[in-house]
Amino acid sequence: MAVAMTSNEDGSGMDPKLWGELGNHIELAKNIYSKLPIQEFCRLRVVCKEWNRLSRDRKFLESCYTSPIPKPYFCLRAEGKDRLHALLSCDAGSKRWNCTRLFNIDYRSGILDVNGMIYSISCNDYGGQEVYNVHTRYAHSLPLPLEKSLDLPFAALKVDKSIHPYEYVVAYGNNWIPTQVYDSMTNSWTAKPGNRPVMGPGRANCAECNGIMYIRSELDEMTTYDLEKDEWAYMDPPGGDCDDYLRSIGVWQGRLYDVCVEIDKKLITAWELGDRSTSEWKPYARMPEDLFTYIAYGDNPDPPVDPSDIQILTNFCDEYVLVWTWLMEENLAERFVMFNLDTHVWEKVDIPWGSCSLDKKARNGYKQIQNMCEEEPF
Amino acid sequence: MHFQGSPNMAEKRVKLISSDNDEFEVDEAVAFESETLRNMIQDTGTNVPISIPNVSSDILAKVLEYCSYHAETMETHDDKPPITDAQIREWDADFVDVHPATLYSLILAANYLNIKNLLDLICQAVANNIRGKTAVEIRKILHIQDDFTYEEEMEIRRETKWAFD
Repeated sequence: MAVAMTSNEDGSGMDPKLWGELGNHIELAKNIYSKLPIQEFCRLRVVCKEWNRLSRDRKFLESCYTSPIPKPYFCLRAEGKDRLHALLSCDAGSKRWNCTRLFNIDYRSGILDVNGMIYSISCNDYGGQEVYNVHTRYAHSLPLPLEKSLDLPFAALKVDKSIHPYEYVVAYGNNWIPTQVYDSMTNSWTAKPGNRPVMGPGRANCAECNGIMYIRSELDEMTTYDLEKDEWAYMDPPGGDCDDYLRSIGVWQGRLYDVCVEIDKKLITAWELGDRSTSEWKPYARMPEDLFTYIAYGDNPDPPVDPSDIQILTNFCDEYVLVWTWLMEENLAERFVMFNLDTHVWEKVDIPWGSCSLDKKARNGYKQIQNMCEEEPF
Repeated sequence: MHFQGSPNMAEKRVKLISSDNDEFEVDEAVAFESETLRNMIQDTGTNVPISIPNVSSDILAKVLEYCSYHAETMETHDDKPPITDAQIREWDADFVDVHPATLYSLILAANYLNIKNLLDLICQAVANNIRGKTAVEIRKILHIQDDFTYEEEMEIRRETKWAFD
């Protein structure tokens, strides 16, 4: 094979005389383009129409980006004066944490995230729904449900990433409409005849474990939907006098976990669901006292922090549980502690904040969103 | 020239001939890393040397070095600890740390010989090489025709603003 060894002026040493032929031998998009990191991949949509088309091709994206964001990563969500949606991920090489704002989910409510897939409903009519994949930055719009809810419905998401493109199942319903289940395999909704959940959830989070979808809403409530039996049920959240903030629940190795914060008792506890039929929750681990003090009051509690100005929130990513503090007045997320369900280790993580704080433009945008997206529980 | 594959004498050996007529001899397990060679060997057996008319000896040596290492990682030895994934990644990273012109020849060889993991590895190295380049530079290097109008390109830039910041 004759090879021209001329070096190239752009520093990469890739001579166009040689590399220009590559497209005659292999598929450039499938072999090269797909191997770029997602930001680069999206930036290079403008190279040609074929690359642009592939950057919007769900099947292509989800088969080439099977696990592009290394664990642990978290989709942070909080509301104070402003609304926060951000992806927190750790660069595998430098071990530095990055925070990227997820702009694309503005003007949406009913947001849930499962395995980096973010489900949301349009604020306009509670019908238009999408599943946004943070790994590929691709938003998949679901067809309209058979019957639309007039209020924010109960919704839950189940994701199977072993299939390409990933399979999702969405359960959608409330007291006013029949339960409807969307399956991405058929890209269609099916109405279910079973019982209906009685109340709307307000804002919620969900996780799926052994065919049961668990919906954890703020106000310390928990609802389940059994996909196979088509059955909604209530269950007790973990014991303890938890505050009402919206925290994530997580599944690891076929078990459901929830974190309970009891500020007055200075306790943050991870609970494990033992038996669903009896809602039997067992305390799994408790945050050490020094870390609790750090999370609740910071390094220099001078003047002392009023606990009512902060929310202590959690996110799950497999065995990793992130506990963090959202300062509502300042719109700042800070003080991060990570717990590992596998090793039982609690540790402070150094995540420099700032890149996710809202600029003025985003803040004005937020005011509009806030007016559109009143997510009051009813 | 003889290439030392893994020294398992019980195994069948395969003779390969490069485009510049150098002869290589490797274990069958090493050759089997290549789908193309596997099919050829299954058709014609190991008695006849196999010609690889479009891969030169320096590139074929590199390819066989890869196949030989990866065939070895699949073997288990009682006396040696197994090779870890981290060790394999490190070895692979060293392997692709070569001049882009060599990478180019390796792509063609891996593609012809149908060694999927090697093709993926090298294409990943090429993707790493083109990181940070502009669309204009990419089009120039890979001879890709710009088929967008100015308006279409601006529209995509607006849609994907976060990636350009």
